[in-house]
Amino acid sequence: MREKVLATCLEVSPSIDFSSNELVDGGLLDSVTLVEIVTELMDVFDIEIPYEEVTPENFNSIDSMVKLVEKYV
Amino acid sequence: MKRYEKLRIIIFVLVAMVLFYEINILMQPVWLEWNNYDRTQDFYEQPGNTIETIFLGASVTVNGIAPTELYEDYGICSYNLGTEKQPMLASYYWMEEAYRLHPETLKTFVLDVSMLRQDTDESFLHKALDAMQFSRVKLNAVKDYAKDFSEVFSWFIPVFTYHDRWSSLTKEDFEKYGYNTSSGTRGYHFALGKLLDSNSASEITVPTYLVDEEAEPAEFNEEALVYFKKMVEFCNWKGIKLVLIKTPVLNDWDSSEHNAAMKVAEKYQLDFFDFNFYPYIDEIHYNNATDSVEGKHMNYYGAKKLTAWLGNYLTQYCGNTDVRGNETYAFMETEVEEYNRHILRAELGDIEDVSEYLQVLYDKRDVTILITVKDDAAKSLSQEQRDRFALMGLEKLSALAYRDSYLGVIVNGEVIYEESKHLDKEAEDAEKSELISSYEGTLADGSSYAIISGGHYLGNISSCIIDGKDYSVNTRGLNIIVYDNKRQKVMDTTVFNTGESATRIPENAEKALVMAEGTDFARLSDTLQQLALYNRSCANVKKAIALKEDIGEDGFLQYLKEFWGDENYMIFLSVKDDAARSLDKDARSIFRKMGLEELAELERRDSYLAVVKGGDVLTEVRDHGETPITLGGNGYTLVSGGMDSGNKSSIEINGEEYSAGGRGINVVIYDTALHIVVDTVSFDTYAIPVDTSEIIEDKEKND
Amino acid sequence: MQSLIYKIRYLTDGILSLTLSYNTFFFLIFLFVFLCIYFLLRKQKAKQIWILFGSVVFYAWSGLAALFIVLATGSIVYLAARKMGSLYVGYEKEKEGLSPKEQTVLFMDYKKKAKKYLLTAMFLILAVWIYVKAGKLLELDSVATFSEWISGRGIIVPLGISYYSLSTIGYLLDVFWRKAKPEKNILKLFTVMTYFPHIVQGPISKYDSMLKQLSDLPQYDYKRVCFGLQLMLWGYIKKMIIADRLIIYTQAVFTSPEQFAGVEIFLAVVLCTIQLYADFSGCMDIVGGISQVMGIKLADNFRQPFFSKSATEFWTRWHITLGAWTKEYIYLPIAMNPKFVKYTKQLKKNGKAWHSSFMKAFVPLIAVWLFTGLWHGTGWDYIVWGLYWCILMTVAKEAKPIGDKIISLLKINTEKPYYQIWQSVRTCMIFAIGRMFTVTGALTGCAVLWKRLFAEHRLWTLFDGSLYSHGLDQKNFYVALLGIVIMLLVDIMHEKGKSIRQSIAAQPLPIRWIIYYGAMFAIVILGMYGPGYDASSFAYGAF
Repeated sequence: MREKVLATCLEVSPSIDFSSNELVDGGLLDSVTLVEIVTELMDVFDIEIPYEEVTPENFNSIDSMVKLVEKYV
Repeated sequence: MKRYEKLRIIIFVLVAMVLFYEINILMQPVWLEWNNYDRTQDFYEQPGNTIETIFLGASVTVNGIAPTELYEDYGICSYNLGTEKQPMLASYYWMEEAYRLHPETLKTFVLDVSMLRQDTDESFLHKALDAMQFSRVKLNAVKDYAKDFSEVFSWFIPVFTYHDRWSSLTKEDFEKYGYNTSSGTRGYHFALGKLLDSNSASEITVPTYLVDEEAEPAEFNEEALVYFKKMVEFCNWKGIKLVLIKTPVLNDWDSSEHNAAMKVAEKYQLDFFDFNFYPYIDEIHYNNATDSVEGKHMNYYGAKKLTAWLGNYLTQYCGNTDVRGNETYAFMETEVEEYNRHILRAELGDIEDVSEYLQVLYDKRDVTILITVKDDAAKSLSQEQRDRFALMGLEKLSALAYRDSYLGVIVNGEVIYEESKHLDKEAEDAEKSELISSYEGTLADGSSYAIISGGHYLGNISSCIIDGKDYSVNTRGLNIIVYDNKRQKVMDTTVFNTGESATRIPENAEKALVMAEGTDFARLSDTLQQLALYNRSCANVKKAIALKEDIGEDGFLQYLKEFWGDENYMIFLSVKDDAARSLDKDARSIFRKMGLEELAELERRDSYLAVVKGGDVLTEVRDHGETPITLGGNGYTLVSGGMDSGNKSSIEINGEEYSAGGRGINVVIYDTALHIVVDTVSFDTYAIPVDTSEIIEDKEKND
Repeated sequence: MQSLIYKIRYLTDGILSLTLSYNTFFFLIFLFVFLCIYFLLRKQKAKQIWILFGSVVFYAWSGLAALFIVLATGSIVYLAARKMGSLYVGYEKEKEGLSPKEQTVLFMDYKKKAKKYLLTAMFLILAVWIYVKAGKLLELDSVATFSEWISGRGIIVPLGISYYSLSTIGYLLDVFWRKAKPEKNILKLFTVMTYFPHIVQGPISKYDSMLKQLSDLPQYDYKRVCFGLQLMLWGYIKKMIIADRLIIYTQAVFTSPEQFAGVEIFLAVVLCTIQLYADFSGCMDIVGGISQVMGIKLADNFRQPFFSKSATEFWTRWHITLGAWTKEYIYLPIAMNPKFVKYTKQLKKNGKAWHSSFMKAFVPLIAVWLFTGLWHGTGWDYIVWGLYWCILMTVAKEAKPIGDKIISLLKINTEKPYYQIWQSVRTCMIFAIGRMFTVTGALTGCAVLWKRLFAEHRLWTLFDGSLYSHGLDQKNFYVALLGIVIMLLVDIMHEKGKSIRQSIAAQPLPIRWIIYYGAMFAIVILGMYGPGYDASSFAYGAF
């Protein structure tokens, strides 16, 4: 699960260091990239992520993203 | 820290308030042009309960009445509160304000009725009310006019109305702070300059003297009448007499307006004196050519006349008291002194001899006199004049030679600089700047002046620049500029053409003409010639009016007598229908004696024409044919037809028809000096016999 | 006694007839009284009630009927939010003991129920808003007569409806998406809705943050109050000295553009963008200053917009709260809408890769821009304006690779100042051209502007003084120019991160006070207010 998520993120934006825990709050993910990641995740995992789940807490690290995906898979 | 902060805030706010106050004063326009500012400031400086009469109205009032002279000559303490185009609303509230300050002494309000014709114009309301001090009266006035609350507010905080003036601030705005308002004029605006200066006699309006009683009364402005009514009621309530006048403004006041004003006066039972018509125009001997600045406002000469009339009236009919000698009014003496200083210019203008002129100023010892010569000033100087110059210390002026340049500076009675330059003939290859003489100095207020003189061969110029402005008249002779050191402004700029004549014509043209009585017309100056012609026009009108009243239908001979001897009158006679029936033996013999041979032989239904000039019968034609007879001449064509000969009468002069066209003898009087028709009248000598009684009496006396 | 009653009546009638907008003297008096009492009240509750009172009085001045509409709207919002909140509380109780997956499913249920309230409330807000806009602005007779029939008078346009509609919808959505907790105290909600500094022209505040600030109002602090007043002063200078002055010239040109040409039009377009900036940002500074005095922080609405290097960046610096709102509540929800995402993926799978990526970028964007256009105004000119920006941004994005290639080919160093300035100028021109669509009030007017711009050049008007004959004389032009230069310098300092107020505070007292007095009296003297002094009307005519 985790590798798939990480791979998807890297595909969207290869240059970002996804090991950080402050991806959104720290500014590494801007809104454009975030949109892409969300839409890619929705496509790759064939899930529907509701808009309110797109929060800094849920996307600050790969692990939080994984937790989120698992809720909707 | 808290207290320190509080203190800072308080000081900040206080300084802000002071700055705001000062800026309000700065932004407020001063409108020095008509002394609006002086007038109201000065009014508030008057001691309370001293004024007995207040004059209200528009600028015609401001220019027309000199309260200081009312005091000087009649002892009346009054004040002129007119302002430019003063709306009736403002007149009313100034009435209240004046009463507020002089409730015990006020006896009369004199109002010029011009503004009954006008709406309340906001700009001029500002001019009238802005300087009114904050009081109940002002509050009521503003509330009365303003449409809403914020407008009322902006009336009292000038900066809200006038802050846009920042781009047009002038020196005067800053001078406000140390401005000295007293000039002793008590509201009067001193103006010289007369219509005669730049108009020929034919361009100056002649009064009509008689009111056209039939003229439909004009409609006055409703709003103005509302406030007028308030004024009437206020005066009734306070027991003060309200008097209405109309200053003479011949171009802008007619019978219909007069009739309307009369109606108003009658409605409220007020006295109304219209100085545009009989009898009052004559009571003040108003002369439009010499007493009006530009046809609308009276100058100093006119104001003097009106003021004198008012002085009499106020004393006799309004109970105004003579307060000269009264201790409470001692301050008026200072006013008189300042006033005379202010109008010194008028006195100076009447001086004909340059040495006398300089002497008067020299004795004053608080003026600066700057003298420059242009072209030539020496040719007509008399020895007496030169001697007087020498006595004053003007050595070089005393020795001035033909076509010399000359510069002279007298400060406070002391000659501090004199220079003259002589050249016999045209200099060759010389720069103008080398030829002229010049000098620079400083005046009492610190501003600098530069004077330049050039005699005929030495540049032929006169110039006097003070603060960037050239005040010199720059015509031939002695150009003199007088600077008032006390009041720090230019008092007079004039020229004495002593190249041509030792004396000059005084500015008071009326006086000058009177003094020149007996002189040949051709030898009068251009100005006086025009004045003489103008006076003649007025006299003609008066004569025509008088004749209409005095001479009856039978007064043909009296009528002719009025115009017979004067070489400037041409008399045209033209008969229509039948003029012979009532001509009796006496009349005919008088005609024969006058030289009207054909008229003496006039028979029933004859046609008849005659041209008389200066008492000499130039032409006479009598006929009885089938057609009318015609007589033509230089600029005129006459036609006469008896009953059988066309039954018509025509007297055409310069293309226009003037014959009265009645049965009998038609008379047209033409003034050859003025080139206008004086009168046209018709005498029905068919039905009414000619009155010969007076003529026979005279003859008997003479025989 | 009679005269006393009369005097009171006169005073009250007079006061009621005054207008209470930010740049009237009357407002300053209102503000002064309001602030004095605000600081005298020490308790939180008292301060909150006082703000509500002041805002209601301010709002009521523009019409009691409008106040009624606003409070009615607020009540609906309050109820809907509370209902959603209590539903979610129910969910929190129920979700005990369930696995995350099950919780998610359960939550979907609750969300469906909450959605009903959300949509009802949103519908009502939008309905009133569209009703007002359509009726008043399009002057549709049917709407007007309907309104008359209902309320006995014409269409009432509640003050700030465009702003509070967005803020309330945002608040409802935030509650729906559990980004914010519903406010329990309806008075507090009313306060935040009618809060007089942001009700007239924004900024579009997030009620969540406003409510939080409202619960924690600070006491009087000298420095903060001073800074707030200084910010207000700067706002008034921009609005009353610069903006209101420039508009005289620009209005003269735009009301009859056929009379002008060439450089006159060009100048008018340039000046009208500056005028809009000075007016809007000036107003923001005034209300920001007022709020700062009170201790409340309003969201920034401008961040030196003319230094932007691209169209996209521009809208993060100009009317920031509007851009933020449309991004958060229109752009992102659409871009991340699962159904939409599926559709675009479908396109990609079907081989239409370019189509797919184009749709992904374009659809949310056009939604945002159509909305933004219609939010500003209801005519075709605003729709075209919205489309203009939309197309511009799309083209910019698609053409970026080509642009980058050209830059590297020409070996342009994008860090150099001249290039940065070029980028700013380019952005300004884009904005100005956009403005041309709407400034005359109709698209036909825009066409006239373009035609007249190239009809003649009229360069001579710059030198022969005719430029100063359209209502703004030479001296006034220079004042405006000076103001613009000062505005530019201030913006440059802000861009560099410097705080002007801090720098002034660091100066010695005489200099500070000279600056304050200078600013205050500049506004009093140079401000465009009052009847205006027309020297010619005072000129002496006849007697």
